[in-house]
Amino acid sequence: MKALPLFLALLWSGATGAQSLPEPDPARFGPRVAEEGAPVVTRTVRVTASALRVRTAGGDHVCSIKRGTVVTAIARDGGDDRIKVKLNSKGCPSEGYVYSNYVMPEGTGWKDIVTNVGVDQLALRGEPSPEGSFKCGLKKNTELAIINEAPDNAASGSWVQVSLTNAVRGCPTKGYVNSSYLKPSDVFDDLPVINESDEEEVAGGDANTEAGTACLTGDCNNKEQGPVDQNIKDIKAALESGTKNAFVEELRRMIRNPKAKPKGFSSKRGLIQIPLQGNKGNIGPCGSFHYNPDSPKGIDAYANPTTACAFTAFLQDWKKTECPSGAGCRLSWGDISHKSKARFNGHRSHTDGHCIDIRPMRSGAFTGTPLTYTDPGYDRAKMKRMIAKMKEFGADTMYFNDKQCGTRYASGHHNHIHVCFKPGPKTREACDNLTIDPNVCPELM
Amino acid sequence: MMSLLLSSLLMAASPCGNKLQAFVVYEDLEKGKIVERHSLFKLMEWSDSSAFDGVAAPSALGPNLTLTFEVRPSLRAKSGRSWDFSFASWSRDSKYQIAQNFSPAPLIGESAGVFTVTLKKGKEILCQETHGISSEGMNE
Repeated sequence: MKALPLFLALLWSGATGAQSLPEPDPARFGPRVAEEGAPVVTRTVRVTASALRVRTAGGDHVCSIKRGTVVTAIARDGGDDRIKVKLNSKGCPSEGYVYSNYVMPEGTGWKDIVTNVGVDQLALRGEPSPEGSFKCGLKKNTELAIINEAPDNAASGSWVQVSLTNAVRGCPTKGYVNSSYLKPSDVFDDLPVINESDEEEVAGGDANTEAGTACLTGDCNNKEQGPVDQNIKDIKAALESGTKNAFVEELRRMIRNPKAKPKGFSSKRGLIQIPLQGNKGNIGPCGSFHYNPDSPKGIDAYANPTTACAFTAFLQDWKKTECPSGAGCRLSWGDISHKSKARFNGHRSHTDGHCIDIRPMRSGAFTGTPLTYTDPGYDRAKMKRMIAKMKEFGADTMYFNDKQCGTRYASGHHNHIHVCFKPGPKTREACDNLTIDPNVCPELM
Repeated sequence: MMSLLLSSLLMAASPCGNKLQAFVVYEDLEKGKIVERHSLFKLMEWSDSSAFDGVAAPSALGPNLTLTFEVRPSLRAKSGRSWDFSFASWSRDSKYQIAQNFSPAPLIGESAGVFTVTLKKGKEILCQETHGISSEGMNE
């Protein structure tokens, strides 16, 4: 640890090429205005998002730049995660603002950068992918050194190999994390701070260059997500929420402390209500449909926080990978647990918020109506994919009467699958890795 | 015995098919705005996963339609509670008329058993169907 300042000094000078730069003080991450006469610090960075929006100082979207585009960071926002960049992209102005989460230093990249974990319980894994073996959860602000920014067999460009600066009980000293959850702001700490009063609006550009917002893991080219996408009015908030979503943060807080009361979300008996929209409470997260929402609306939608987290992760993944069009593949779910009654409508296994009823998959258009596995509109292939996907996210107990789906038979389960996402390694992993994509789950923004 | 009883029920009148369908009214997002929609589907067993808001008959069946809705504790029970409802045109879809003020959920409550719908035109029985009422907790 004593060698860290020297290491950082060497690192910074190497990264910037400015030999006379002062040694950065890790304890001093506040705004720092460039002094007159000091060397002008810039940094060449590469876009890691598939489509990153460039904005004016006021936040208006002027164009988007694709993954791999190299731009020059010339200043940082003292109170925000934005950086000001110079760019040379068709349809874009010569300068604009982007969120620093979606770029990485070019050349040295992340390698040898000392950074901090930006979320609580970030999964440290044995392999560079969401399916990699879970080693431990890293607390927020845990200091890491990135030792390989592009490991072999990485699931995506977001995975990096890290070593822990200080030993953490129960964790190996090295592993892999998703860099989307790291705090990159320190990397730009030596850039001059933008003096807002001197700034002029960046003008020009083509707002229609690229339709999507920054997509770390999603496919921004998927135009079928259009209608709900229009709900996102403030891209700044959307991006911030994309990395730190209020619902997910409250779920994680409740998981850490079962007595915690979530802020801004309804809870009772240690259960949290899945966010619902509309007067009836039919509109669920990530394009899902909440059927028979009872009265008052959504009183049946209270879930254990780990269950809610894993289920949300599943909903997002299902929509992203299997159902971007929102047709018959939309998830129609119902009874989880009641707000106050331990038992309702005769349910015995819907008391602790672990289990959810989901209607069978249908072919064709979404209709909001029930169906059974003997219905001509039932889509068995899609149902099997849904079951497999739910297992990936930690679902275990499953009752559904289509024998070809490999689920357990139980009387009455011809018109829904009863599935439980109980707290365990898989559901916790699913929760650890959950980052809300505003394009996929705008209802949670 | 059970099948005999069910058969006798079915023999009493023909099934309803498209003469009487269930419907649900729900909300959805369309271009970022919340809109109300409705869907019709064939009558089926009552459960939390297959509940419906009401029943609709084609306007083409003409006036003087009546719905009798009966709830019994079991298929074997000879009597239960029943209610009659008249029909009126449906503002959501002029091709249908719906049973006025009919909402099955409070009539069924949390009871298990069966429900029977009987559609009449005047005194003539047009169709009749009986379905189970599932209390899902009993199955798990």
